[in-house]
Amino acid sequence: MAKLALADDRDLMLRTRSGDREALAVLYGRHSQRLFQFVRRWTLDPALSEDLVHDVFLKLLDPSIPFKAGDRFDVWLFRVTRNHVIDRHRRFREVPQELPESAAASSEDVLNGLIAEEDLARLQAAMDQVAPAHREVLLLRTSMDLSHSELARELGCTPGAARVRLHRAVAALRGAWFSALGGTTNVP
Amino acid sequence: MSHDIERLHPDDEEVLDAIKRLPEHPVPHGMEARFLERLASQPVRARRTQGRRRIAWAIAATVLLVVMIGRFRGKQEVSSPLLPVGASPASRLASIQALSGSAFGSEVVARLSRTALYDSSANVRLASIEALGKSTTSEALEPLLKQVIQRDASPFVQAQVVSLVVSFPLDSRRRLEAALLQRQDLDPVLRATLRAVSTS
Repeated sequence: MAKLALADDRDLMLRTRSGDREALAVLYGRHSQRLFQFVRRWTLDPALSEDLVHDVFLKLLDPSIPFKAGDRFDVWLFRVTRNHVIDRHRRFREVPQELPESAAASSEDVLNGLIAEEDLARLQAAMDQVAPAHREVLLLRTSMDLSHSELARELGCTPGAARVRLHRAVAALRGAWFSALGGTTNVP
Repeated sequence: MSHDIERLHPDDEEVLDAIKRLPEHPVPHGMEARFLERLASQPVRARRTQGRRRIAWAIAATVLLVVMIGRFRGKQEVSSPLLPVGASPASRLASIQALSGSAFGSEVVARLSRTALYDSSANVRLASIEALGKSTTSEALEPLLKQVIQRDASPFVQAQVVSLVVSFPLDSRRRLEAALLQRQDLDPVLRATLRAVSTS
């Protein structure tokens, strides 16, 4: 077990795939929290998130799972997780409702320069309100620090389209933030 | 330019940075323990699948060996009667192949056994073993095969022995496989095949 704790993720994954459960437990210890945060923010349901994260880790025991030794493990794991969440809960893939341009525009500068630590709780509430598809894009970008090209690969679209989706998701977040404030706040 | 493509408007980037700074949600109490519990109750699918792969590989290797032996033997020309003294290897081979399918008396078995052990041609020794394999029981053949394993360094003869041994009853098969694996000069492909077959 001590040796496994020092092994890198790829080695552990290869061992896991051949049935080594101790290697899987080490991988779980390393990545479960981050993965839980990602799924929890996306699904908004702690119990469901736990269940989904566990499902994903148990999937890693399957020798037919397509992991290549050259893959970056954490990005690959997020991809598996994302696909699993989508498979099990199609509603997280629902088409986002476009934010009215006026709402997006009027709320645009609400966030600008205002995101101090005390506002993070409100930002979290706004995150919870945006459509799951927007949340997905925002979380993929921020959890994994993916570039537009990498984000595009994960979303299955062109980098330009990924950029647009990301911009729309940010606009939707601004809209949700604005709504949370009752839509009456004067912009400083 | 790539910087422009990769980055959003500074205001959007600010929002994304703020999302990164959001406080983490608390992980449910006992989450890891529940995972380990689920892990423990998970069936051992990976190992079973691995076993299936090994068996499939062993079968494929055996088929390959049989094909190789068939091709090797197909190159020989055959045209003469039963084990004439002083005949050429091709003639000796033909006489053994002429026996194919017939029931052997004890005298023929004895002659084939001697040929299997002492003939100067590997091809003739191989044909003798094959002929004996078709018409004698594994119990009767085991002592002869043990001697062949100890004496014969030809990979073709060894391959023939392996292809017979695979169909033997488990005890007998294990003894012969062990004898084969003890040979330092055993062909590496045969060694790998035997290992795969014996672990499957």
